[in-house]
Amino acid sequence: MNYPFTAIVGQKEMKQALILNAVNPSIGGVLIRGEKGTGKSTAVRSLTEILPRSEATGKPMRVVELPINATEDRVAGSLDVEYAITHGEKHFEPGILAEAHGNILYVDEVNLLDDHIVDLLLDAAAMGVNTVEREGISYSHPARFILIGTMNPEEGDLRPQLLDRFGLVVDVEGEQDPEERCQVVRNRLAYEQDPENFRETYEEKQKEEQARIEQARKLLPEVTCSDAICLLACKIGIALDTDGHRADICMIKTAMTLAAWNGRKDVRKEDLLEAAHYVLPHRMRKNPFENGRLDFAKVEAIVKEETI
Amino acid sequence: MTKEQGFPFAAIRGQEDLKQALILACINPAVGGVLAVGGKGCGKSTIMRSVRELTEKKVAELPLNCTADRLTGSLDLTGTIKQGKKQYDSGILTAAEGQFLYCDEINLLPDSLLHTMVTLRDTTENPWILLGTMNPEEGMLTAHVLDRFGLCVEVHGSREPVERLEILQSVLEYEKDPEDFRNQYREEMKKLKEKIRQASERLSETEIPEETETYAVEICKQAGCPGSRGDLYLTEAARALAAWEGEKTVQERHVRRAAAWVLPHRMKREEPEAAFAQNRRNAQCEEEQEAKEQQNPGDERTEQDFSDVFDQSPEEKENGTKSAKEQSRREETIFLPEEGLYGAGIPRLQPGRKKRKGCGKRSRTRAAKNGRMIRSAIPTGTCTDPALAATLRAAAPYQRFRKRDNVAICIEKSDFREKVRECRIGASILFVVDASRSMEAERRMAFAKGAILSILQEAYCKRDQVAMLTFRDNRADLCLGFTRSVELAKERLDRLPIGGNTPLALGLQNAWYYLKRECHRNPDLQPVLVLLTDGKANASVTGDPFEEALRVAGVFGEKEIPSLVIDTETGFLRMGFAEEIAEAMHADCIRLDDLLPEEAGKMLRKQL
Repeated sequence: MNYPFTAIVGQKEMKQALILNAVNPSIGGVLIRGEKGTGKSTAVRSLTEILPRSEATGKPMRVVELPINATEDRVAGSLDVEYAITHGEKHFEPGILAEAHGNILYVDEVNLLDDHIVDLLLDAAAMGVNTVEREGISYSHPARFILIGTMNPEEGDLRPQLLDRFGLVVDVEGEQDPEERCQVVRNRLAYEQDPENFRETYEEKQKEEQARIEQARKLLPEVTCSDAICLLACKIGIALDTDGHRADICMIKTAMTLAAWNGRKDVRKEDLLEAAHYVLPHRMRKNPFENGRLDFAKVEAIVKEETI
Repeated sequence: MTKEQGFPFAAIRGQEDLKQALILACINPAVGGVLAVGGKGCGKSTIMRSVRELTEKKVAELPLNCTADRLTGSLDLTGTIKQGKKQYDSGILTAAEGQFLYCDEINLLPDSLLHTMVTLRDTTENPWILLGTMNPEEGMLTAHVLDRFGLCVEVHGSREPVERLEILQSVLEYEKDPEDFRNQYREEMKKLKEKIRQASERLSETEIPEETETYAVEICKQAGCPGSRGDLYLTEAARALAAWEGEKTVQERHVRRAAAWVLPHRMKREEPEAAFAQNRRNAQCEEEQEAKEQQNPGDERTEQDFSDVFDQSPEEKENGTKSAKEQSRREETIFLPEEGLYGAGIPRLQPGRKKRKGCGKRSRTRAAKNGRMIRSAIPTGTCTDPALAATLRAAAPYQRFRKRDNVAICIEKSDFREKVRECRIGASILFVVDASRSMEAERRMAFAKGAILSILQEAYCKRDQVAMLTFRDNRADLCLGFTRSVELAKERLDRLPIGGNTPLALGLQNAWYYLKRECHRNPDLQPVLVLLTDGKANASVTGDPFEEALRVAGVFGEKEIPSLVIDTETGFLRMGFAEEIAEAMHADCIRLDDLLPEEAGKMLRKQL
């Protein structure tokens, strides 16, 4: 049983990024960076209850957690030892990646994940297929999942290759507004005192949110993006010297999803600008000693220049 | 598993070099495979994967989670138990003979698997055509492995707005309706495939005139490519190119074009300046040693090792009869490493040190407690980390003769196998920085920071961890514990206070304790010490400050902790104290004023 997603106070960007992924899984997940106690994990876990059905499996989507201490066998899947001992035959025992197919794969403290586990994730995320060649087992199964990671940047960075796999990035801070902070505490206390009751009071809101996600998902195939907007995305990508093409592609996908979420069929400049907020920050850094921060004024200037 | 159809080859915009190289590999298997090197998100994998539609050959995938038994094949559990007779399960490599073998992010594949693959390739009659992608940000391949790739193509994202737009739109269109998108290109793909087929038929008739061949060999020689692989791949690639263009004879332009893909990755690396010639000689010695080691990658007792000792081990007989392939594997694992010889303090340091020499690759240490399992072995002592599948395989042949009470398989103690894991860890670099008053003079500190920064920069690429300890004013404080966040280190460095006397001995002593503690906590740690000082120790706990510093430095030397001393003393008249310290530590010493920032990193790599 989770804390209701809609009861999370503030953290607009984080919530928006999560919802965008729920609407359009092909965006490629989200990485949430922030200090401890900013509600990152709560938000991700609470997503379960407002998720729509998965297009890949037809079942309701859920959040599958990848614990930081998971072994390779457990992640990729391996020989089913029990079956082998009782029947004398080898069988594939699916791992977390199989479980995550069509669902959200959540890694808390993703920056602390062992390198060799990260490699497995990269492999599966790149192909959408998990191919296992271990311990006499040769097996492959689809593994399309939304990768969501949370991390505290103070404890170290993420490998560039993995960082790039995340479609969106959100930096969260503790709520600064005293009134909102009070609300955070009040909600939490109310929830802990009587979770059942608390969840009931939010039931309506939760249903509304879920319905809106469903609706946006239905609208998404009808959303079109003009050549001018696409070209604008490419120009931003080039101007900011992002690696490869993933930034452009992700920016447009996110902008389209934003349009759908707002009930529109056309993508506007504002959508692109908002998408750039989520898509670009982690694709800037080529070198740790040049200030790799995203110069958002530059993006705004490019967007403003273009008359669409 | 249904074969998922990917993005069609014909729909890929740009990346002409890579596309051409792949077409050549389809036409002529003798070009020796293709490696795509490039940053993230520029379409390497998409292109590589689309190859399966250009050729009749199969494209087997080699996933990063692969273990040694699947790579080379092993005992088939089900069959063996059922029949009570050994049955062999062929591995990925055997299945891929004469076909394509694709490995995404090949530089992340465990070293041992890479070496097995490379060695077996040379002894296989009809080898697989290796396709690989890699992102150099994640570490390089050794020259040894690179040399095995016939063609190597660098891939960049497009910088042309219009081309980028086309790429973007084709990706969006494909994702919206893959089936429809593929239909649009069906005709074009058919033609392309036919053209490749025709070219490969023409190949046998495509001749290379003698002077063109000489030209090719000459180019290879000029480029300084060691060995004859370059010549061979270059002529084969030129032939394939000529066949593709419908020419009967190979011309010089074919050779020139192919040279761009065949040569760059096998040219001799640029060596550092002659000033470091001595170091280079040392390095060469180590490299030779490394080369030897590469031939004998098993520094654990593998199952193969015991083949001569225990005849009853079921896998051995299997392997023994398993053709030249297995034999070469056995040859690889004859020698056991002199593990006991290394310093008692940090025993795992040395082997790793050699491993990472030369190629600048992130280090990997064997025999790690955690990390990925690469193969199984007969346990030495009690089995704490059993490899269940291997244990079951070992027990399988005997099932007919064992008493099985209500279980399908009965395991005896002799069947136990344990996991051999390989862990990939960067070095742990501890900076010991002299922040005393003497460092204020002549902007020494600024230069020192520059040197540290250049090392940090490398550390970032290699995913090393860094820590920093400063000593000044009768104190030696750890101002940053080991972290992977290089930014954090830079931040601390920027705010470093300076002043007071120089308690060099105390600094080294605390560094020693800190490293010892860290090594105790994590036995796989590979510590490296970088000391920045002018060596003018003037504060001590007991007795003469400099003598004391030398004594502590000697401990580092004794325990063979790789270290580098950066002598911050500048000017014409030198006391040379830092050099003496370096000598005691068995460390290299470089002078700050000789040092261009980018060389600090190179020097450090030498230590590793």
